[in-house]
This record gives sequence, structure tokens and C-alpha cells, in this order.
Amino acid sequence: MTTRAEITSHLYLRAVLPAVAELPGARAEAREVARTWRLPVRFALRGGPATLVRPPGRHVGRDDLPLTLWFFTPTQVNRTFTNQATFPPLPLGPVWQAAGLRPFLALTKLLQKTLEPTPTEFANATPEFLEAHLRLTFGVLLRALPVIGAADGPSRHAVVHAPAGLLTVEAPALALVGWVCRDDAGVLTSGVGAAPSLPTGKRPDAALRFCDRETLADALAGRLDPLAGVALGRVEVRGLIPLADALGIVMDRVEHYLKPPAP
Amino acid sequence: MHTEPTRFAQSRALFERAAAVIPGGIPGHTAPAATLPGASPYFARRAWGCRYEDVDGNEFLDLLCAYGPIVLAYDHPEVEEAAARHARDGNCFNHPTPVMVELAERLVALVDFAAWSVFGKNGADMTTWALGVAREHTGRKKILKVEGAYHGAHAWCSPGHGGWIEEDRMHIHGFPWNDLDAAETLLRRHRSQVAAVITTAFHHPAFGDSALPAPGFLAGLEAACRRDGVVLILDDVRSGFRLHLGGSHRVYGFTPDLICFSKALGNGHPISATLGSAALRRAAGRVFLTGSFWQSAVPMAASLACLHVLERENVVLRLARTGAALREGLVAAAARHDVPVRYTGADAMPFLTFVGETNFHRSQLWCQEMVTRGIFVHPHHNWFLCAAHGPTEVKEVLTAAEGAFAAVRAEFGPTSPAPA
Repeated sequence: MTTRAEITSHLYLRAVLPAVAELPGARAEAREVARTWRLPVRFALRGGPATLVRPPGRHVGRDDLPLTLWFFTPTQVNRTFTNQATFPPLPLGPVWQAAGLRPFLALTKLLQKTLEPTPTEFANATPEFLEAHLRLTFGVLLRALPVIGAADGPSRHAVVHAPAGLLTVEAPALALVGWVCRDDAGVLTSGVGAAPSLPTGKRPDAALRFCDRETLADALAGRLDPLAGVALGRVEVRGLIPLADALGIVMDRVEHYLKPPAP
Repeated sequence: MHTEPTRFAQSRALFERAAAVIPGGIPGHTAPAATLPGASPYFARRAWGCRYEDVDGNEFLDLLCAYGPIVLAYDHPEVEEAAARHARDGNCFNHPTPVMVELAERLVALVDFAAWSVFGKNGADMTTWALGVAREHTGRKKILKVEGAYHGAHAWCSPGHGGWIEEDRMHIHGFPWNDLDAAETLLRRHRSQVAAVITTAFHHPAFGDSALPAPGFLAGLEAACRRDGVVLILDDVRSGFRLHLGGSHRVYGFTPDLICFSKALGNGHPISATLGSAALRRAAGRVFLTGSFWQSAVPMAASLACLHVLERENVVLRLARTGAALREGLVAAAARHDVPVRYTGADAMPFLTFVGETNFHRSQLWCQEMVTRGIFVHPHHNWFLCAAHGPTEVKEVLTAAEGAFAAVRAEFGPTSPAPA
């Protein structure tokens, strides 16, 4: 994975797509649509990743075969996710259930509006919408870090030269918690929620905290000056600063592939 | 860790103004993000001896000494009088002044292998120029450096992530400190292509313990360089004039071809220098060297006075004695509180971390507690002593340290054999 198109397609599949399943938890409008969503859907890129998206809260049994949408090229993935004209993916699996895609597709449209509101939509956004936007963007960013950390040149350099360790990320104003781990081999893993490898009472190697909602919004939109943010107490960083610094570089690089919307 | 918004209110207010017109507010090594954000001052107002006052009127006993330049004392009367005397005649002219010649003569007399000297403003001016001299002398491109060593903020060596490209570093190769085998492997791999090896006298990386040279390491490096026709550059910017008046190589038993000084050279006045062997004079003459302020007279006058005081008062010995007392006291205090420390580096430039910890949580708390008690220290960067530190100041530091170690113990518990 070396080209910009490849990296971007991996981001769409591994970082953005899983947010479809998170959307009903964040927006009431999505919960309504998700009521009728039964069909698990799998996006697969030839020679690349495959991501399975399940209806939230629904147990997927043996009979619930996913419908696979097979993409042939990274460009096809990217153009699909950005609503540009491209040939459709090849459906594989229980294609007779394709009608079940309708609620899924409605959710993807809603996800796009939530992640990429227009300036006007931002200006008129309700508190629920803004919270959903921040919550989902937070998840996308965390999932993007291992992709960028492995494939993007400057990010790889930052990660290679960073110490190993676990960084937790918090935004208490939204009760958001996440984690990123750099292992001894220089590989990044990440997730939303409490870090699985952190025993109770043990501190992470580094802790990053966005002290209020506005700071989180500025950070996710690429508007935050990190040095100034830390000095002014808008962002708290404790512990292994070089790890936090390197992961900050990787976070910054995400927008080279997934540009944040202008407010 | 707690912040102290009231205690540093003016610092914060000034920083808010700074952030509006300066990227990052305060960039570089003095950036609050790199030290104790919210828990230490951001702006200074004045200083004297080994103390300084911030813009909120808080006074600190300083163990950073402006990150090295203050080797005698802030506002040292002889240095400042020499500077003021010269300033009355002027500082920056169309030409250098006689004081440049006097300073070059003085430095060449001090440094055993040196036959010539040049001047700049910052350490990185000199380390970067020294690489150019090595390349000019050898006709080669590659430079070997110690991994994690700091030589300035130029593209070839900046610790920052932005603003440099792969091509800036394609001929820069690193080897671990104290690993002579690794250095020799690189020399073999790039035989006849290496222009220089650049090293510090001892290893003092940011965010890491300092490390003195292993027996034979620096002499072995010198021998390998001589064998392969490689220029050996000693970056003495940080340690210069604190370990030995004639260059830190004198302490560790090796001889470089070029030595770079800055920081303590002017006791706070902006000046740097590179001195070199006779063999490199010709190449040095061919590498263009200049800067608008590099021949300014006032810092050179200050430097001459500084060198005079350093020698007259045997400051190097004083720093070693004060540093030893500080080390003994801090190590013992930490042990008493069951939070043992690693105290590394030269005694005149120590660095303290906690046993069993590599993520600086304890260091950050300890340093914050020290700052609360009026002692400025740094959790991620080596400290510096100056001639103004004496037994009284050591006692003051140790008194504060008792409370700071107690706070670390209260927060983290005693350090167990299998530390957290």
C-alpha cells in the first residue's frame, strides 16, 4: 500500500465504513432507519482489506450471510465513497437479499452528511448533530491511525522513531475515550473505548485529554495549534511525550487523505 | 498533576498574546508543551546569580541556566561590564573589531589541537558548518552521528518532524551511543564515502537518560576515523567549558579534528565557535561562513571576560564539586522515600529520572513539585549547574526535593522490584 489512492481506499474501508454501525447510537434519525436494517454488508477490495458492517445490536447467525460488495480498484472505492461516477461494485453472496441494502445505503448517506456537513449545515447544526459529528469523527480518526502509521511516509518515520507504549485519548465533555498502541515492532493498533491491554489502576504510557468540546472540534478539524493548545491548557498531555508527539504527527497526516470539512 | 493558573496568570496572558502572532506561541525547546505546561512559568523577567524571576514575580533557583549559556551567573558583573564597555563603542559594524582576533587567539591557546577559530551565533551554525568543512576536506558526502543526539535544528539533524525531506538526510547515518562496533560497521559499509563522524562528549538526549562514554569508545572512534581518513567532530556546544576549559575531549581521552562551542562560551551572550586542526584550515577557508551578526563585538568581549573568569576561578572544579554534592543528596533523598532515581550524565550537567520508569510520569510530578517549591528543573532535558550554585543552593534544592520525593511516593507508591 503505497499510493495515495491505495491509502485513501484503506482509510475508507477500515476507518470510515465501520462508523455506519456507530451512527444509530449517535443520531435519532439513524436509529429510525436502522430499525429495518437486517443485512450484514461486507466491503472488500481486491488485494486489500475487507470490512464487515453488521446492524448494531443484532446477533449475526450462520444463516445471516453478508452481502459482499467487491471492489476491483482503490479508485473505485474512493469514487464510491465520494459520490463520484464509477462502475458499481460486484455483489457477491446472497444477492437475492439485495433489497436489504436499502436501509444500509440510507445510513451511508446519513453518515456522509454527519461526517462532512456543509458550512451551512455546520452553522445551523443542532447540539445533537454536532455531538454526533464529533463522536463519529473521533472514531474515524482513531481507526485511521494504524492505516496512516503503516503506509504514509512521514507517519512511518514518526512511528519508527517513537518509543513503544500505550496512549489513551479522552474527551470528557463527550465521555469519549480511545487508545492507540505502538508496539515494539513499530505497529500501531487503536480503538474506541478503554484500552484492552491496560489493567485497572495502571497508567498508560501517555495520556492525551481534550479539555472541552470546542477543543476537540478544533483538533478534529485541523484548526488547533497543538503547542499553543497544550500551553493554554486546552489539551493536556502527560507521560511519554515523544509517543504523544509522534502520534500527533500521524493524526495530522490523516487530513492529507480525508480532508476535514470546513465549518 | 495539577496546574497553577493563578501563580502563572501573567505568563498565561502573555502566552495568549504570543499565540496570536507566533506559531505555537513559544516554539522550540522553551515551548511549554515540552516542559510542565500550566505548572511552570512561560516568560521570564529578570535574573541574577543562579536565580530568575518570572513575569508573575515568582522567583526560582534555576537548575537549567537558560539551557546552558549561563555558566558563571546571570548578570555576572565582569562579563556584563566587559559587554557594556564594548557596547559604548558599538556592537555591529561593517567590519569585525579587534576583539574577534583576541578571542580567536585566546581560544586557540586554550584548546590543545586547535590552530584556528571561527565564530557564529548558535551551536547549529557551527555544527552544520563543521560538516561542510569535513566534506570539503575529504571530498566525501556521508556523515555518521549518534542516534538520538542533538546537534541543532537544521534540516540534517532537526528532531522535529516537519520541514525536512528525505534528501536532507540521505547521507546522514546513525549508530547507537557507546556502540563502537556499529560505528565501525557503518564506516566499513560506506568505506571511502564518510566525511565525518560527529559526536558529543557524553550522550545527553532529550527524553532519555544521559550516558557517559564507555571506556575506549571515544578513543576507538578517533582511531577508526584516523584509519579511514574521516574527520572527527566534537559537538561541545552543551558540555563545553563545564567539563574542561580546553574542551571536553580532554576529560575523555581523545582528540577531535573540529570542536564546536556555544552556550557557555559567552555566559548568555549569543556566540558560537568552531576550532580546528591545522590540517583542516585550508578546507575551512573554502567553506563560506558568514551571518549578519556573527562578528558582533559585544558577545565576543563578553566571551573573553567569561573565559577569564572561568580560568581564574577554576569554575570547572567548582561545578564538579557542587554537582557531586547535589547528586549525593538527591540520590540519597530519593532512596529514603523509596522512589530511587537514575542520576545520569556529568555532575555539572545531570539528569534525573526514576528507576523503573520510561514514561516520565514520576519525573513530571517531581519536577512540578520542585517548581512549586521554587526550584526550576526539567523532566525531559538535562540540567546545568553554574558557578553561582554553591552549598547554600544545594541545601535549598535538597530541602525542596524532600517534599517532591514525598509527593511522588504518595502518588505512585514506593518503587517495587518489578516497577509499574
